[in-house]
Amino acid sequence: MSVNDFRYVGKNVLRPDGPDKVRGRYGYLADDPCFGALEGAVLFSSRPNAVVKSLNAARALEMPGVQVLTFKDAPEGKYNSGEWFPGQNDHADERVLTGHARHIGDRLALVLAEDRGTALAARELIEVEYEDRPAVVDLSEAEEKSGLLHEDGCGAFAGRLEYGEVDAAFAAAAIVAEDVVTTQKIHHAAMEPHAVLAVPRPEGLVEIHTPCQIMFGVQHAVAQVLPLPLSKIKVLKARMGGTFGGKQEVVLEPLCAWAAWKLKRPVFICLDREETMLATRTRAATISRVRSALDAEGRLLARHFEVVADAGAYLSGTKKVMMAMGKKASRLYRLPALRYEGRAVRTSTTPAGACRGYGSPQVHAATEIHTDLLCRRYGLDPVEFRRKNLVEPLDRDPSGASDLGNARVRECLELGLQAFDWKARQAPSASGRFRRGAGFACCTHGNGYYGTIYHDMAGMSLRLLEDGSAILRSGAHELGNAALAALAQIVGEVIGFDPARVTVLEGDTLFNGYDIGCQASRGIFVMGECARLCAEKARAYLLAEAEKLGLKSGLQDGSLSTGEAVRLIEMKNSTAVEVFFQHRPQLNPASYGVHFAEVKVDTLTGLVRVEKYLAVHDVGLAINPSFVKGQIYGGVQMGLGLALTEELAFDAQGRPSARNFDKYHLVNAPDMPEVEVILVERGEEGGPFGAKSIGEVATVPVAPAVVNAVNRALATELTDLPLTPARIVRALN
Amino acid sequence: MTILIPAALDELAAMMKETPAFSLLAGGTDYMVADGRRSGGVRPAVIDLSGLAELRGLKLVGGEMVVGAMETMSTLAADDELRRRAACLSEAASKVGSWQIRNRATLGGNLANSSPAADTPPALAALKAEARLLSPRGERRVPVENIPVGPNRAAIEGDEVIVSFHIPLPAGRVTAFSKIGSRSQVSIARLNLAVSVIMDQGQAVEARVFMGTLGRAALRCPEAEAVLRAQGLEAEAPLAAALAEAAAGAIPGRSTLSYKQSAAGALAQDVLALLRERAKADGGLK
Repeated sequence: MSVNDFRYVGKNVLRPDGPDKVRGRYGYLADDPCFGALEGAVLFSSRPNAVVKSLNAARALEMPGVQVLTFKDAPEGKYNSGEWFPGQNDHADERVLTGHARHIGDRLALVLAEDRGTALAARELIEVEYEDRPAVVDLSEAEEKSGLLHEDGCGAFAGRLEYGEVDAAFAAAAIVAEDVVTTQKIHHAAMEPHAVLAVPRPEGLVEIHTPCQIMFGVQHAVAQVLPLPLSKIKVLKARMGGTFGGKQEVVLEPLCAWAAWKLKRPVFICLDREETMLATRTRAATISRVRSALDAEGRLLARHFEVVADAGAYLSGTKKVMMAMGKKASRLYRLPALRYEGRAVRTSTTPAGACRGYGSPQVHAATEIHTDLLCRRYGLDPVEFRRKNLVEPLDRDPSGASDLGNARVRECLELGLQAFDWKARQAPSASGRFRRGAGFACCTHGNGYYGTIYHDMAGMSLRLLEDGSAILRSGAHELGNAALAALAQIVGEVIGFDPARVTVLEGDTLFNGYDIGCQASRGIFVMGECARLCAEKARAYLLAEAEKLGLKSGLQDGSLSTGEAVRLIEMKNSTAVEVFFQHRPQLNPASYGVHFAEVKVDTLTGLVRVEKYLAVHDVGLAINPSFVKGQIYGGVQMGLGLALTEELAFDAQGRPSARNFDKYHLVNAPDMPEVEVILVERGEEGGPFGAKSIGEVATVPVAPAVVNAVNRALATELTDLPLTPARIVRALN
Repeated sequence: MTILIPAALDELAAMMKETPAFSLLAGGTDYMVADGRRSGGVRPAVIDLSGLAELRGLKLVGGEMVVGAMETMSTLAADDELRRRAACLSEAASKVGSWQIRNRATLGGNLANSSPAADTPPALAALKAEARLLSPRGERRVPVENIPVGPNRAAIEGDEVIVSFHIPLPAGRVTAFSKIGSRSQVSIARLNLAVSVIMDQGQAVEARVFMGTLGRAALRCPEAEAVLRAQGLEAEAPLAAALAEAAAGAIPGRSTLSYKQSAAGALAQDVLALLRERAKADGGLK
């Protein structure tokens, strides 16, 4: 079946939230005030590592209506913000409020008042006396100094993956190459800062409105701090102004729910930019030592990784991120043997966690920069290296994870080489103040959790209405990527309804079928397929019920409208055309991308201008090409920041280099290159109409492609991201 | 907080006399962001200068160009006359912040705030501009180069307001400004440079060179000026060396120094290229 056979799939159907969003009229949580809610202002630590000796709120409490909850009031129970299912046993080391501040921005107290101004003013009046301890920032010392930060006796959280004869491969190798690549902490920079509303309801129920990615994970986290069964915790996914992983882990939800529960009042907490930057989550900084063993023909025999990931003040999901890095190593190149040794360590800096790509950008930065450098050192052609080593369609993953599926990375590479005119561009311009160079990088990312230690499933219900419209009750979370609009397109295609007549509802933990959340790039492959199968089930039910009334042929030849059939079925058969479907994916193929960049580097200022950019992606099939391209454009913008400009650094005293966008620089529109996109649509079994993921993988190869271009332009071996102007100038002098 | 909006200069003078502690609000692009977090916190009164017609205007008066202190960066960047007669100021104004910021930010505010990274003070100083300051005690004219004295410190009294800038228009002058930030636009300067030279029969007979971001908003670089007078507009390497030397003198030991020295080389090349082009167009350079 080709795209031309579809009515809605593969077409640039408009998203229903688009017009309001571009006009600034789309209301987010902070735009919809809750009647009677207390405004909560979190008192954040100004110290990177200090025990609170005293916290005097007397003057704050003199202000009208002010209440203050401190770490002394807070439940002792600890949780892990990245744990999204009971029994995952992620190390719990965080409380809703703490008397031991472990980073600048740690939560000490919550000030509540009838209005935001009073809450903020009262917060200023709280006096905190700290007993400072040394900051722990250097990753090489973090394990040994962990006792300064945490009393749990855990120095580092180690993980390991291994298969094949690694030592023998290195012993027999013709070439052994090694590089150390570091990546930095990144602020997600979603337009909307973190916000949450918790409302205590009658009959012992608490309702939490949050722009989250895993509502059942929020429910689980809140159950760690409140004495409530999961069935009394109603989490509603609020309209969201961006996340990029920043809102995947719980940050404010347990605190807000606890405060609302304790005070029997609705509580609303909304951070500002500085607070979102310092007190929520970041991309995990990493140090990756990569060693490759190659035979004389340049074929990979083995790779050995030693990775340290900076969890920040709390472990959060960082061990999972670190392990996710290792799991990518055997899915891009045919790798006969792998040893991956990783450690997550804690430092007195802003906690890390999920961030678009979940370790993929970090590990691919390491391997793809390393690959180019080793090719240069040993006189290998980087294109030939890929041709020799990239995976083939239907390859298995030797680590034992799910098969790769219709892996079309080679096609991405060849199409890209041609479209980018790599042959003509690969040689750098030799001299002068401005140098030009080109680079590329390959990458892979997943499509859900099937074949990992985590379960993957989605449940949805669909009701066809009497006027030829439909409601899909999904556990989906619209993150800004038009996921709901894509689900409407899928349902519309199966049922034959215009997607504009299909309303897709977001998550509600007390109402929806269970779903594990919008994470792990499972949105289109798992939830999209669930929507398709749910719609097929509804269609089958419709036809079966219509047959009882002798209406089936009318439906099939178009003489009877679906809406009219639904109306007659309800009246005469006393049944709504409404089904529930639970999808259990049995596949988790890989998505691929190959990006090409040409840069111009000013050797005096160190400024890098990306002048030409091409992104080639193996997406199976684009449900909506304009959505897919939108994800790629945004992914490139984010990846350029990782490569060149964005950095949330901490000095030896644990002080952040940036607290706002004056010192934290995203690549903006005038500096964005034109991004050319080529989509490889060869279909993927198990995805809706052959579709697979794009949102995360789109940002994965950007940084190594750009770094490889800069290294080629300057004949440098830069491996510490980002390549700031100062770093480039230093490397040249 | 009290907000006062004078409609005329005498009304402003009276308000400044009667109000014990106030901030003057020009475009607000620094004030609103600082939000009282600067030392001293928020003062109880704000005097908003936006209603004062006397602080507006861009006109030629007696051989000088007079620019009202409340003129915005957008207006300055779009003014053809200014671009012709004082290109460096036009360029500096066009490179401040974003469109939105340029629509609000004013020339007077940029100098009064005196951020070391401010873009227009070096341009005004290179142009030998004077600021006309008014207070209840009378008025005075001060060379702009004497006003920035340190990071966010301007030699302007608390009861003084900048009314206008007076830019002399000598024959044969060509000027240029350039800056380096983290991005091509919407960027705070890591280094900026304004240069004005008076050309006479192909020779630079007078030169004024000011760099920003080196501890104050406009740092004069006499050695760089000497290079231009002695070696003219081709002297890229000597100018770069003189600027690097000036940076070392201004911020010795600062971690950013070596980067700024390299960047000064880029600015020297860029500004000299602009100056040569303009001198040629003026017929001042063969």
